[in-house]
Amino acid sequence: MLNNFTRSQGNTNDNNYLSLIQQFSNTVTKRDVVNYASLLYNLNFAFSSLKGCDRELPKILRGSESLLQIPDFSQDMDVAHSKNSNNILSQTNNDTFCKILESSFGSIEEFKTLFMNSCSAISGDGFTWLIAKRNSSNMMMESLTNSKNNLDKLFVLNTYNAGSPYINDRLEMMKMLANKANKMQEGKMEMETDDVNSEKVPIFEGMMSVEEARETHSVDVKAQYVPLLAIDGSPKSWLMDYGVFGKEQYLNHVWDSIDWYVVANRLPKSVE
Amino acid sequence: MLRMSRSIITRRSIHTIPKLNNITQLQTVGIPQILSAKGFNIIWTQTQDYLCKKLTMNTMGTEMESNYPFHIVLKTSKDPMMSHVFNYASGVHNNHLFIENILPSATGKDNVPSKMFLNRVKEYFDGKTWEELKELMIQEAMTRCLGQGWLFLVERANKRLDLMVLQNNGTPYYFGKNQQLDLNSAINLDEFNQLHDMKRRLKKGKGSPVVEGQEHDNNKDWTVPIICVNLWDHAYLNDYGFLGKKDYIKNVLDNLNWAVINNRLYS
Repeated sequence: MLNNFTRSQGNTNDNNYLSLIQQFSNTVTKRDVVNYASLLYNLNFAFSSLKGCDRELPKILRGSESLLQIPDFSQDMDVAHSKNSNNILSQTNNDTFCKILESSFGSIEEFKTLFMNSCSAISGDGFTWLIAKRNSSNMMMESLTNSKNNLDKLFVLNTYNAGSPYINDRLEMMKMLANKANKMQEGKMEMETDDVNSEKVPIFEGMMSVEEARETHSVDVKAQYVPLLAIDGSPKSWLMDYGVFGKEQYLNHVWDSIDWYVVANRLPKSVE
Repeated sequence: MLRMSRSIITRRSIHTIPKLNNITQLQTVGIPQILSAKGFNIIWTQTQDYLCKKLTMNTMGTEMESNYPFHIVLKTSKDPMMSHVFNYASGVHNNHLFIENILPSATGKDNVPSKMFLNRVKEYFDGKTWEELKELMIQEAMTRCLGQGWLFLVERANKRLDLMVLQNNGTPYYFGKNQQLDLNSAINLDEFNQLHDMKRRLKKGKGSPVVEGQEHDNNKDWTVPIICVNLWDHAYLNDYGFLGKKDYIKNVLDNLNWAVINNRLYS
């Protein structure tokens, strides 16, 4: 599909997708290009974090009774916890990665719960990401003097449809559109000059909730987010193999297939 | 509107799959020209079951547990904190509308659009014939729904016909929850204005006078669905594959049950 939209550019690889996404993310005429580039990038990224596991695909698909099943609490939480963290530690041989997971989410188990539930909560198409926040250069200077600040946090993020973790400046687009709309409104007003009493209603009024919040809470827009891990929650990836009731089972299989070595190596150096 | 929800059966506060006539036949042969038996079982027997059970689990012990899904849709559509219930209720209701209008027709040769329908199409779509409108519907569905969603032909309060592509489990009944825009992608000026108008209407709805030039008073919406096509993967992935969405939509629109649709149109 993307090839249709970008025939002029011959080779396609992840970096190309990324530059397309970043360059045109707010350009509406290039929407289709960005959407398919983003989907391809996300999917490639999700698959590159997996190495497979030895669990077999379900032979009999789950039925509706699985919705009513009581979760198995018999397993000792401590055992499960140490199994998970040992598994990640032994695969990555990277103590820093485990530590930052624990400091960001409380424990590996809490991270797993948040991550898996975020993905199962996607009702349509979407990806769940583990991302690292990299501070802007100003913050870096500060953090050099204070070594504790050097460690920044990891976050879990959901993107929907063709959303991308690299697009975080929608606010700019909304502002631009609001300005445009305001100008058009003003133009109309001038044409209807006889109506002196007509109240000028700025179209920007009453707008923005999330956007406003972002502004007022002065989000560090310069911060960069580096994706470490992604899993695909879209029905296309699980419906055929696991069935209508099988998303949870799919997610468990995916969890066991994650290549933690690859994931840990994506951790930016500045965070370590 | 009541007419449509009447057949959705609730039994002692549990949401169950609506009963269809000759369901056993549908489960063994599917819907000719549209779905195989397996495809039918995925989108109806299983997905509808999934949505009903999830709806039951989310409304258990609340005042909504004995409401029809349709009423739950209306009740929850204005409350963002109830989105989790809204999504399942809207999914249940939309999927029922969908399966109703693709059930194999019992009228044989008489399964054609009514004259009134064809006239209305001509009137509201720049003189387009039904065949041309179908092309437009396919195109809209393919370009405006990247992920999961629904394609609707709806009738407005002033009897105008309109096309709608809804993201995920949007509902045609209430403008605030149409979910026509995919805000994960860039939007153009028209879409921005659409979004802004919606926000203004939602604000003005609280007891202020009718806005001049707007067809609906305040935030009331009297839109009624006429044709409904399920664009979720569950509906076509098994029978048509990843690349078959377009063929699937075409097959659905070519084999609609006109007895049901002609009935939905206001006369």
